[in-house]
Amino acid sequence: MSNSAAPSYNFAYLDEQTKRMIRRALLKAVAIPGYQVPFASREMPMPYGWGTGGIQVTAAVIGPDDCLKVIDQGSDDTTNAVSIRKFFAKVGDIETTEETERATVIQTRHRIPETELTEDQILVYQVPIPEPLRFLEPKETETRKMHALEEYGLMHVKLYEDISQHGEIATTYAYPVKVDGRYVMDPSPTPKFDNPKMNNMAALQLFGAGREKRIYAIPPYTEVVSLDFDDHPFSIQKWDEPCALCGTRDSFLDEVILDDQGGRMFVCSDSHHCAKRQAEGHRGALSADPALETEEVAP
Amino acid sequence: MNYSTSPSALGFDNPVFDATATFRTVLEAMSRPATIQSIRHVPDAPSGIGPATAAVLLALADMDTPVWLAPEVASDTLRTYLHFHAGCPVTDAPEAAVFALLGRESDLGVIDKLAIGSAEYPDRSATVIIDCESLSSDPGQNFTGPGIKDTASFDIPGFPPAIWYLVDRNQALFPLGLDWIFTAGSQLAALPRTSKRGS
Repeated sequence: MSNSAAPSYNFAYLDEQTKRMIRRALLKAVAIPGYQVPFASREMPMPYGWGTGGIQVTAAVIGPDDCLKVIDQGSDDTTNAVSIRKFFAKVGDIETTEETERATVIQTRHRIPETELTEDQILVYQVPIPEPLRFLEPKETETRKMHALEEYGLMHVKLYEDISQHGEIATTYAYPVKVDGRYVMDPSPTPKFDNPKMNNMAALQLFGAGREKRIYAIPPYTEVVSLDFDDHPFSIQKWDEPCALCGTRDSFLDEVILDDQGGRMFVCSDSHHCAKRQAEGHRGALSADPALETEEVAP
Repeated sequence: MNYSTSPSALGFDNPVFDATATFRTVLEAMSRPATIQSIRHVPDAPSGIGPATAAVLLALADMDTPVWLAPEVASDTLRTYLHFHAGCPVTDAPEAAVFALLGRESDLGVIDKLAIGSAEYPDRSATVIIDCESLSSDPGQNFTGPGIKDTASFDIPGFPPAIWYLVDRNQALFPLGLDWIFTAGSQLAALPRTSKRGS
């Protein structure tokens, strides 16, 4: 960056006209909660599936005063999260953080942070398939008509078939929700554990699907209801054991295979939440005892 | 069309960062309806419209968005300004407008001619920008709906009360309808079509 003659990107990579187009789509998305606004998704310097929709939304929203956090399946340390943070640090000189509380914009792939979000934050979701009815009805013209007519019977039939086959609603992620009593929406492939957090959230939630060229949104303090039946009410996942590192019983846990003898551990998927709890002194069954910590063994 | 090619007023100091900041203010206003927001970096505005109105148009309008101007505000100065800084077409057909700009004395009859979207594409609707004298958060009109925690109070002092009739009628069209941005000076407030006026 020291060589001013070197070609450089526009702030936050996208050109200004693209940002305006995305910004107009975002405003309409906020005005029609849960409705998927078509937008002219651009090619990004990464393949589809790496969060091109979320990145375009973030690029259109973020400014020099923002602090960005990126999580991938709850973790700040995975490839997708690290590379997107680096991308915005490079093309916008954006300050990045792993602390949920410090971030003003949080881009996420498939989790909502365990820490409650505030009015001063924006949560940007990366979405692969924005259309909740797509696997039930492949034609876009049909699903569009179904949304127009508020014809969501097919989705209830799908959930009912779950019950008749498995005895319960077996959908565990991308669990359909109804936003403000009108549009049925795909919350992106977040675990259904996170669905209740979307309801009446203080933060603005924006969704970007790059390949499918759709943007949608949930304004703050908006009713988000997970679809269910009176006799089969919506419920979230529960685990028999607490997090092996921080001992919490109320966060979403990942199963980690430890060896080929059936050894396994359950650990928080939200890496910042887990690290924060450990720093506060919480310990789990597999935590290292600080008193016993020895020098790192060379590989 | 015989426009002067150089505008009488400069636009944003920094077109990239000021447009971003203005958009964030509009996004905040649209996400938290009926709250009054201030635009931090307003552009130099031509006479006849307020700085917040100029900021919103420069931040959001471009060659893809026909803008309709009410006769009271449609001066040559403003046309030149928009052509130069935003590059947006100014249309005479309200039904083609993506943004419609009205002044405090404009005839509200045009509201009925603006695009409200279709059942399959409710997003293809106009955004109405009304340049007002002042905005007030004193108890006046009360709103509920998405983005509003309990209720939000908002009023436009001195504006014809007929506007509330239009806002109500527009809200009843949901998910179709217009979205409203009210500006005054460097402030603005928004009412998306979801905001319901209570007693």
